[in-house]
Amino acid sequence: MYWCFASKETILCFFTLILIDVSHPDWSKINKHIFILSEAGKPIYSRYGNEEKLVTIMGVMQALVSFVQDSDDTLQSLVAGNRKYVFLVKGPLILVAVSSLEDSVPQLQLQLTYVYHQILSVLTGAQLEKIFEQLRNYDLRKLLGGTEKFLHNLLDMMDRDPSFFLESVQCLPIPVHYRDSIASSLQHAKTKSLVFAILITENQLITLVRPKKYNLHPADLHLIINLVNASTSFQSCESWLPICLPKFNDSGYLHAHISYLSEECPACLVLLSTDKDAFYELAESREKIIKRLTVKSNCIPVISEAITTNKYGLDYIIGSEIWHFLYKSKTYGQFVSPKCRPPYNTVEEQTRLQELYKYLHHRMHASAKPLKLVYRLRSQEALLGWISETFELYAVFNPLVSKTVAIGNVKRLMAIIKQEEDKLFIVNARTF
Amino acid sequence: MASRGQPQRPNGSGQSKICQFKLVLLGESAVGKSSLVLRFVKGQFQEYQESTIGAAFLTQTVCLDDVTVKFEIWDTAGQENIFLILPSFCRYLRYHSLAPMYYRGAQTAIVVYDISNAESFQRAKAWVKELQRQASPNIVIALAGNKADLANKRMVDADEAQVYAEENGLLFMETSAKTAMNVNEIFLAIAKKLPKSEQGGGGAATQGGARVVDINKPANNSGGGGCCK
Repeated sequence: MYWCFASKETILCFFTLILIDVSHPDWSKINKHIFILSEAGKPIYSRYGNEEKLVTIMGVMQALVSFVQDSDDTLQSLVAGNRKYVFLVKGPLILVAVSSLEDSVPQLQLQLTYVYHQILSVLTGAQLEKIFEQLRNYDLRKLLGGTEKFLHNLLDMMDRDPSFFLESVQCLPIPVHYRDSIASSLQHAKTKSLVFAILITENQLITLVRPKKYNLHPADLHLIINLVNASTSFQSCESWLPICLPKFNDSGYLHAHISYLSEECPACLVLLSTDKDAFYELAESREKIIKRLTVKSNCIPVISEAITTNKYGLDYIIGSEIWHFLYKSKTYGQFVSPKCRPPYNTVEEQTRLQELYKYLHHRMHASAKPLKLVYRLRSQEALLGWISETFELYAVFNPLVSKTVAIGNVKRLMAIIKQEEDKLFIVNARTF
Repeated sequence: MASRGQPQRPNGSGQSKICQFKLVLLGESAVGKSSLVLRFVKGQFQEYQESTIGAAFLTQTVCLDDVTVKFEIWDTAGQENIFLILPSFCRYLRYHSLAPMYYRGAQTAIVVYDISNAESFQRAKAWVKELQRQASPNIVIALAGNKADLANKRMVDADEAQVYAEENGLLFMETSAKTAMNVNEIFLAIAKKLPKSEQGGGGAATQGGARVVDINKPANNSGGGGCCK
């Protein structure tokens, strides 16, 4: 339930505190803050500024949350001015988002859930509970030291990358026979403790092999993608580290062997094992995979080329009429989208484009009145959203284009996607 | 992984052999552990080296007169880092329970400090103590006073470190990953000091450590080579 506060003073006080220049010069210009605090009100993380100096604000947030909790209710969100305040209480943590962007309340809640999962990926849910059971006042920053960059990177990605609000992943477009032979190479490297073998590049999935019994949830995959993206330290060696994937199992770790295919190829291989001593075993698997990819199928240059040129993607569809689109296949839980071209060639414009998509997505999924088809003409572009049993489409058009032309474009787009489906998506899920 | 310095095969007599050793780098965050390794393995240096996540694994070989020493190097994240703290969480773990997993079975360790940071030297001493207590008894420990190029900001006296090293039976050198000073030398000194007997030490061998490979026999990793047809 959404909570509305009677006391205007409380909100005003809260609001002003947020806007005070605490330690960041452009504090009030920032359009999305994220705060994490413990149930006892101890600061854990702030996206901007130094959380140390935010003790007062965090205190107010904690007070707001517990005030509502006292009447057996949950504070979910407030709106003040043009800002939304969204709260999420998870285990012993309170997570707060303050946003003046287009993100809807459910979208912000989802983002906070991701932030929470990022913390679990380092600590596991079981340990997090245990720490605060034993020491209610514990300063969690001691344990999260060195992992802030993963939170920063995750938050930046969520502002730029539609995979989060679409709750799906984007695949690297590549001809199906190459994808199949890459997947076979991964399958062949199976060892006793290997659970998932994943090949990714930047924010795209190349292929994934999993056990028959288990699925890898997109939310877990996003954490892995974030881990790999946030650090360059994986590039020159083989790395070994524990990671908890909360959707898979939030009480324990998997152990990740992370390495790039070669110094020239920006594809990263992640092998996840249940055994903390399996490093050498997985290092051997990696050798086998690379040998197969080089000797048997010559896949590595194909992967590199597909990454650098987006050769097999749908960039060519973008033109004077259709400017950009997102197509999510519900069947495969994956989406496809072209690279950004003018007018979306600056960071500001790309952010604005994401805002449009978030708006459209929210309009169509609003719990009060979900929609199947939306067409909106705005000053800078025309927006179209279309949801069916099997897909979700969000597209952006030149505002001078008529509705009929736009629909003609969409039909053509759908036909091409259908035709190139096996190149754009992972259509054959592989298992060990 | 392509290893440089491919061992040469001498004609005839089967003297030449490869000894494989597990080496672990320990020390406070930001003292330059990864930089030392990258200088040694790849001959590279980056002014801004990102902090290590978890543990990084690299290999490099060093040729001595009659043996080739292959180092399996475990470069660990600074101890402040959570990734070293594995599931056995307890509230005292911050410093002490530091995942022996990385130095378990290690035949040699380089404990690194930063000569411009006195506290990092204290941490290094604590590491040495920890290794002497927990690691395999025959472990060869080297102490590296890194960032020797920052001589004008020196906070740790070289003589003091030398005396400490001698008292504790450690190899000691001041190094600079930036200028490459003493980087190869310290690894070489370790290679010379390591026992290269045939059996390769019982207990540790199971951990993927001391394995002696006769180079005249076809090796298990047939990928490299190709020098003499």
